[in-house]
Amino acid sequence: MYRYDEFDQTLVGQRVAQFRDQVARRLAGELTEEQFRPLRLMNGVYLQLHAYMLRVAVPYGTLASRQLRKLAHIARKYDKGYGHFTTRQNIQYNWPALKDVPDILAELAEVEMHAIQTSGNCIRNVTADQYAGAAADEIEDPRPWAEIIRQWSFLHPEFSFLPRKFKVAVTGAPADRAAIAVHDIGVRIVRADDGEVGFEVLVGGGQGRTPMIGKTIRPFLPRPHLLSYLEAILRVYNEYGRRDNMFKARIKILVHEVGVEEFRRRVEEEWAFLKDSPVELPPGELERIAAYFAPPRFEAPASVSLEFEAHKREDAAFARWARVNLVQHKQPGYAIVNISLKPTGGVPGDATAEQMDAIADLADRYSFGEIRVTHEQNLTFAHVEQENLYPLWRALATLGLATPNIGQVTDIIACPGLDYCSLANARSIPIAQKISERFDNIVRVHDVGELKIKISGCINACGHHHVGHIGILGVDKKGEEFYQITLGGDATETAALGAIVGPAFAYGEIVDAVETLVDTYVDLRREGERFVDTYRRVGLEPFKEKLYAAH
Amino acid sequence: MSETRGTSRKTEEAAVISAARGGRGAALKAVTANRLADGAVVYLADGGDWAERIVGARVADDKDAAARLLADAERDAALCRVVGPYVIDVTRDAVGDVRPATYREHIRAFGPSIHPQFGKLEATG
Repeated sequence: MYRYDEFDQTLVGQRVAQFRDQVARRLAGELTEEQFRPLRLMNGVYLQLHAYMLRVAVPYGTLASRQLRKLAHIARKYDKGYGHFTTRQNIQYNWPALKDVPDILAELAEVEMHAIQTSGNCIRNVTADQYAGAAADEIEDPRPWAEIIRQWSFLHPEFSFLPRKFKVAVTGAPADRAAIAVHDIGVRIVRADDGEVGFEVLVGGGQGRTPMIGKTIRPFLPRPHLLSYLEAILRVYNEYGRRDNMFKARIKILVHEVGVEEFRRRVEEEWAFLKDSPVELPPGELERIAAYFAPPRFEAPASVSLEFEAHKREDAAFARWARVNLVQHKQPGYAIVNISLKPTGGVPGDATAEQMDAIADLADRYSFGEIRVTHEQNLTFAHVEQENLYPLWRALATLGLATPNIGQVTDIIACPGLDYCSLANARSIPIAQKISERFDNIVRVHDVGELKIKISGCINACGHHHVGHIGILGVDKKGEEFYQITLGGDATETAALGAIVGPAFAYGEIVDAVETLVDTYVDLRREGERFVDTYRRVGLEPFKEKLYAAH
Repeated sequence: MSETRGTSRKTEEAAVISAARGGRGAALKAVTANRLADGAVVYLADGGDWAERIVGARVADDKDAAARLLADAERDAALCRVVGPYVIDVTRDAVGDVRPATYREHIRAFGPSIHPQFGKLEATG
């Protein structure tokens, strides 16, 4: 993975020193909150319901074991012993004291981490496919490009005060595991008919109060021109994006208001000045950065491990876990391992400091010391030898990290919601907990199959409810928590926004409602159909009918 | 967790939420903020202090009094003791203790519903 050079380390160190001074002046009364707020946001420090919140950047979701150990140490020393992995592959701490944040940032800098640009109206953490460099369907590893975009966007002087936040995601495979269609810019690595590898560029995706699927403005962009093209997009956004209304300030609104053709025209016009300019990636830079992401030394003795196959036959629990938590690796003899952070009744995406330390140790032992954070709030070991899967599973089980539910009904995305977030209207985590408890039967979970439930505590949609197969949005109706259901959302390459089913359900009714939807699917499905397939075949009405007849 | 304990917890939770929501539109007001240095939830108390528990909050019983509370709080914000003060609805329980009148403020006062171990102890009895 990428290692800081002297320039990177100096930059981060200087930022730590700068913020230390800014915090000191704030605490001494030399800065007002109005003056300090944009400064703390640029360093990932929010003020939430109970305390400050610190959002630490995990570039494209990739962590070295030593970094995860440092995150565990920070949770233990400065917080309440846990961290929360987010839908942008970052980690959040819910209880840091402002006076401690400079020390936290200094500790993060020791392991080449920071919290810069994880908030504010700037380009945020660049996210990517968590199976990067490992997936069997990958055209090219997206991480070098994610790192290139990160370096380009880091403290970019022209784009540090955008109309609003800006989010970029990159995928390297036809299957979209990075939700690029609901990002401000989505970059998909594609192969042209002549074999040349380049990028499809999507713009204007997003969720929140005005969800939109991104539009392709460039079906094929040659690789050397990625940065100049992104620069052109950002310049058009910076110039024409609305600054008069924060609810209409995202690039999706600009694309919608001017139309995709006119937006494309403006970008191409701007790009004409930038193409082949010094903005472009210098010769040799791609190769230099790509070298950091060279595949590890794969040494599996066989393409299929007999031990692995034997353990699956002999241990039904292991077989169940292997069936849903493992993904085919491009290297024979290896597997991609998903570690569920969604135990029954647990808080989605949370990990204790002890779990983080243990995962770091397991990563060293079984996956070349690397851990990936997924946007679905789980973790991934990208490269595990098949013969090590059984001992790894047993170790994960002792840590409460072997729930065999990846992509299933209990693998729920949930934002922090009203329990933590000052923007929320309703709680989201207890709903996720109650749903997972209702479906606390692994045979039933696996029978239901792939079903992505996503829960947001407010319209800002940090829980990605718009693209859930079942989306749940918490709302406040006269002081009571209610939950609106959407169906048919999809965050993958067949991206779609969910459709509202009907009137919202009260806090005490929503879990029953979800179970009714699942039971309706089971009654209606055909052989091999996932929930979303059945929904696409039969439409909303059968689900709506059952839902409101029962409730 | 046994069914009995689970049922008891659900009943208790529902009661808390109902009690908190029952005070909506309450006539009594208090002022809350976050402490600048560590972000802890605090309530403007007597003597210009800030209490960590809502039972210590100074209560206003009309709009003018609430405005004076807020003005005091904003002076403290300018002195960098607290950040983001605002007025909240409160009620008094059967024994006269100050209670939050909305569920959002209940969570702020006593901690996240999912992590009760991180909240402040219920200030009752």
